[in-house]
Amino acid sequence: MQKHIIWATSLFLAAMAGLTVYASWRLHDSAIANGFEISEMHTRSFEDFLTQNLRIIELAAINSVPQETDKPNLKEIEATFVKVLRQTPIMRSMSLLDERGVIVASSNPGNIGLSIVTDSYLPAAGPDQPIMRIGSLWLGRDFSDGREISPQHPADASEQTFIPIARTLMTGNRPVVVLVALNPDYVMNFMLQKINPIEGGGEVLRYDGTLLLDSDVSSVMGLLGKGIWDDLKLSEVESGSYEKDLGGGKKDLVSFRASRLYPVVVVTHIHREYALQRWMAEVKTLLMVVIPALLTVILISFLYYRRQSLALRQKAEIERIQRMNATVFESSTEAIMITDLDGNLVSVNAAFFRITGYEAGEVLGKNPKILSSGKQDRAFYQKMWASIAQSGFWQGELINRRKDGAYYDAALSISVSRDGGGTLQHYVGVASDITSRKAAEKRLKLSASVFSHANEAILIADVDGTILDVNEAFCNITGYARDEVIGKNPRILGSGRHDREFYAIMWRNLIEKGFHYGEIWNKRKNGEIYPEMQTISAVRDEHGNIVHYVSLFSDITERKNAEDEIRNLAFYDVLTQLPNRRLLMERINSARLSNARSHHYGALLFLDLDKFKVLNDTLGHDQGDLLLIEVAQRLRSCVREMDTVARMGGDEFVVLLDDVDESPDVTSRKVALIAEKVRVSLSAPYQLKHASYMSSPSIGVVLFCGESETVESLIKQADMAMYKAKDSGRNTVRFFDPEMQLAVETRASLEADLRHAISKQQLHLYYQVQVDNERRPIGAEALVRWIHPVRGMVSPGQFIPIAEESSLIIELGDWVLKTACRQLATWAGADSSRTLTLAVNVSAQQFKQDDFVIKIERLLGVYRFSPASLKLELTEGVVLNSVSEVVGKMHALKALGIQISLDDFGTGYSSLSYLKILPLDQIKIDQSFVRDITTDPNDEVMVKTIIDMAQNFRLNVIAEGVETESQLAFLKQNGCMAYQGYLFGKPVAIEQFENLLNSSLS
Amino acid sequence: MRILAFVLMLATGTMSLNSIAEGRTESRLERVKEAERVRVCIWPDYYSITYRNPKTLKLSGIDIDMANELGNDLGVSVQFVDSSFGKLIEDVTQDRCDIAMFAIGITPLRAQKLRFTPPHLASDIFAITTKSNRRIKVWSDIDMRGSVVAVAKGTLHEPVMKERLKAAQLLVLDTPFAREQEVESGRADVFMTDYPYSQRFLVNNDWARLVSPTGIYHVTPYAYAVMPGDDAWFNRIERFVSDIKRDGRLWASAKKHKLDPIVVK
Repeated sequence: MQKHIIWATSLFLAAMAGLTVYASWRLHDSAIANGFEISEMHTRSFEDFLTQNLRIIELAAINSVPQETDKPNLKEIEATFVKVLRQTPIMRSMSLLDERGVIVASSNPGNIGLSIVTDSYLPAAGPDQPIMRIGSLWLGRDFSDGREISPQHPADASEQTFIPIARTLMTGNRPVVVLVALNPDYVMNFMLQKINPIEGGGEVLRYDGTLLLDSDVSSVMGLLGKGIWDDLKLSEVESGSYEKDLGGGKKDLVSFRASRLYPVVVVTHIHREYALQRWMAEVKTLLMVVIPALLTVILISFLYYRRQSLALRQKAEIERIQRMNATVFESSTEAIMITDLDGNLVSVNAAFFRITGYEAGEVLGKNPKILSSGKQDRAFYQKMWASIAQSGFWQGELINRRKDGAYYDAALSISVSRDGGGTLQHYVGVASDITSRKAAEKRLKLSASVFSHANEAILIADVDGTILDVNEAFCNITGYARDEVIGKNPRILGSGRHDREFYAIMWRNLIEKGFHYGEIWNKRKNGEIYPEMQTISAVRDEHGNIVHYVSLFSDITERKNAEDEIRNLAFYDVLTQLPNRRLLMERINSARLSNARSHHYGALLFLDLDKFKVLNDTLGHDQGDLLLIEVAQRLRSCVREMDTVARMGGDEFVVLLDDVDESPDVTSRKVALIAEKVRVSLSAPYQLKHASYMSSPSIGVVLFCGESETVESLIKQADMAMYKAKDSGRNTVRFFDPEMQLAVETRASLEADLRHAISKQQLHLYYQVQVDNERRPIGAEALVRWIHPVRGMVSPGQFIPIAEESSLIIELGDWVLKTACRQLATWAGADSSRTLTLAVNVSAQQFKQDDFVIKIERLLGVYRFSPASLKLELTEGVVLNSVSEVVGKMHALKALGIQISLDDFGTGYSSLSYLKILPLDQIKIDQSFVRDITTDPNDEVMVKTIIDMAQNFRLNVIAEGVETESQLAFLKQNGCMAYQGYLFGKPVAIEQFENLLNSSLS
Repeated sequence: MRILAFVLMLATGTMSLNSIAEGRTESRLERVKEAERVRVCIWPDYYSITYRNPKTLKLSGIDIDMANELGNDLGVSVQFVDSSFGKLIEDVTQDRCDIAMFAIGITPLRAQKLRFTPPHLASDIFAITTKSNRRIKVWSDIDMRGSVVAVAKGTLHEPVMKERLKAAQLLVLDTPFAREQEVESGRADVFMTDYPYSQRFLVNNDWARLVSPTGIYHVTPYAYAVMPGDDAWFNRIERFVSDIKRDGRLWASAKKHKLDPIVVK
């Protein structure tokens, strides 16, 4: 439609434009044709005028001269000439030439006598042909003052000119010529009356092309009018017209006409532009009419087009809306039901079927009651219809039933539809299944409940981090009210404790993994900084874009505190608050590492309180604890802040002196000073709860630098040094040296081997003979020997202490006793050996065994020998521990018939009171006294005293370590009764011993 | 204003001359009344003044009108007597007419012989040439070597041009329309005439072109002339002139003949 309008308008416009152009063109042609007509008309008029005037001239010439006579009266002729001239302004003068060509009579007296040659006048003719001929142009007013114009001597157009005309007459039989000066202005004036120079102009040419007159001022008179002449084609036609191009876009409409009597041509130009002037004006007028008319047509068409377009658009819009409505109706997710006034369904949409499960044929014409679930009571429906009746609208929720009987929640709105006149037409119900929405609402309520009641703070922020909501727990923890934080950035909670990197990691986790979990220090509103355990999750929309961040956090201050407490317990001693062994090890380790870099020496002081156990046993553990606390304080005061004082447990402390000096010598001096300071400090009296107490430490020191030793070995080394200090008499300081370590290691190795020594029968019992004053063997001392498969013979001095410390001594002792008893039983079998006694060493631990006496008794039951031949050798140490117990056991042993000897007498606390209390049979003078008995007076006195004392208490005395005769002599002299030593025999295996017995017997 | 002063001076001059010629007893006034006609000399070639249309032979012009008015005033008929400027003095003094009424320019020569009424018109001199004449474009082109200036014999132009032309040749003609013939045929370049003649001539002849003087060339007052020595006649004529000026007859006629620009009030 719109296209048609455009086409029609365009066609009309094109037709109009075409018509206009065509009409203009036709008018143009007509104007040109008209121009030519005008030009031709003028030409005809000019030619007529010129020919007629020339004819008048000819007649005047003929009539002025009487032709009958040979001798005309010149005066009369002249008078005639003057008379004629008055009536003919085209002639300026008339003259008469005689046969010689000399003017003999003239209207102008000035001409008389002039000789005029007329031979070149046209048409060319003989001198006696009575015709009129036309000469070429002369310059001047008349012959008297003129000259002939030639191409060599042309004249300006402004100059006055005349055209000579000769008429030959016959007077009698003589030819004469009447010469006329033709006034060109006369012709010119005629032309100028007809043609305005603006319009065009005219020319007169002689038949030879000479320009005789020209209305154009710029023309050169008398020249051959070449330009025009070539166009004329006078040989073919007498008249014609053509268009002449003047150059410069100018054209003339030229027409020409030859005189019908004389050899001249009249030419007229009409300027083409002049000819077209009228046409131009007409075209202008035409355009002034046509253009507004066309514009009006365009305008009207445009308006019409617009109206049509608008109408089309409106129609399209209406159709679009209708389509849209239909689409909405059909594609709506809400069920739409349209009923008639009786409430019967007339139209339902697809969603209706989807929701209710019914199909098209099943519902149309039915009442929507088919959906009724029966869950709503009568009142519900009454209220609904009342609302519809009153306001035309109802909205609410109800439970409906699907075709399959399933219930669903529906949100229903009912409105009435009226026609244009307001008459009720339909009821329209729109229902949506909100079952899932209901469920979602429940979930939402639950979520909201969780949100508001959670113990954990919850913060919800948008993607920029702006806080959108927080829960109550948040407010409780942070101290901020909800309004104070919403719209803020969680930065307000920042404690400033975390660096940029911390948050960068957090964000990276959030963006890459979608969550971040960890501890963070935040700040409450009151400025308190507290730890949080925080989980931040990024919540994404269905496109995976992060839309929210949800941060859950709890205040873990208490947990942190508990952790610190645990840490304390793990690393610190509860009683003294000093670092414990574990922390100490860490510190030693780090000290080693830093020493390794700085090449400085550090030191470990291992302290053990002397006789602490006694304090605990006597005064109670609480007093012991007080002492330990005091010790800890004193230790701390003795060392630098950077040093570590640790409690290893019990009464053991370790001081770590870090970074002392780079020189080992300087370090050991400095450390010695500190150790001494510690020793002195700890040796000062302690004020305990109830009493003052004296204590002292034994201190072992080890220096270290770098990582050459492990932490454990360093501690062990210090420990060893401490033991050395203890061995050195306590309350002293000892430095660790490598030999000490070697000994310890050897001892450890031996201990390990010793465990298997009995079972592997590496232990052997050796026998050293004991003799009487007569050098007769009276028995032997059983000495255990360890023949180590690698080390060979191991001295008892080496392994017995090991056994004592490791309780192997019990097993060892049992084996010795058993072996000794078996030997005694063997000896009892022979008369020669039946009287021999065998002395067996019993260690303190062994003796302390509750069943020691029973063990002996059992042995006596197993091995048949005289109990008196078994002699148990006890050291003073055995006695010292618990005198009453020892005494009881000793009596029990005595009751079995066993003999008891006190070994190493004189070396310890040997006290006379013991000798009195203990049921001893013998005392044994220690070999240390015997060795120097002959050289040392003190030993001499000692031995004498011991023997005297023994005699006083009626005890046998035996000396051991007798190696020389002088020693024997001295002892014998002083009343000793028995002897043992290399002088009589080394400890030897049983075979050798028996050999020895046999030889001595013999 | 200057024109008017000049005219008045000339007028007073003629009056003193006329009073000398007094002596005749019988006034022409009486004779005219007796004869019941007044003879008025006119120049029938004088466009707008006293022109006889050759096709109808009817007279027209301001002075034809005024002559008729004079006849009316005097109660006599008017008899027009053909004259010309060449024959003017002779015709008036030889009693061929009672009065010459054809806008006669008051020249000293004429004033010696004739008695002039106060002037009713005044005109400068104008030149007529052909449209095709390319040499004469403006006034100053006229007085050039080779130019031919034609004047009618006896007209006031003859003495004026004789006196004033320096280079051009003056052609004095005495046949009717000779000036026009000479110019049209190219034998003369221009002819000299006055305002009334030129105006009328241009209307009738397409080939003619007017060349006006730049500024004032030579203004001549025009009046009626009578034979001197007859005071009664002169006074009557003088009164007539005064009457026609006063009662508007002169003005009305001048307007009719498009001469109002040169009326002397």
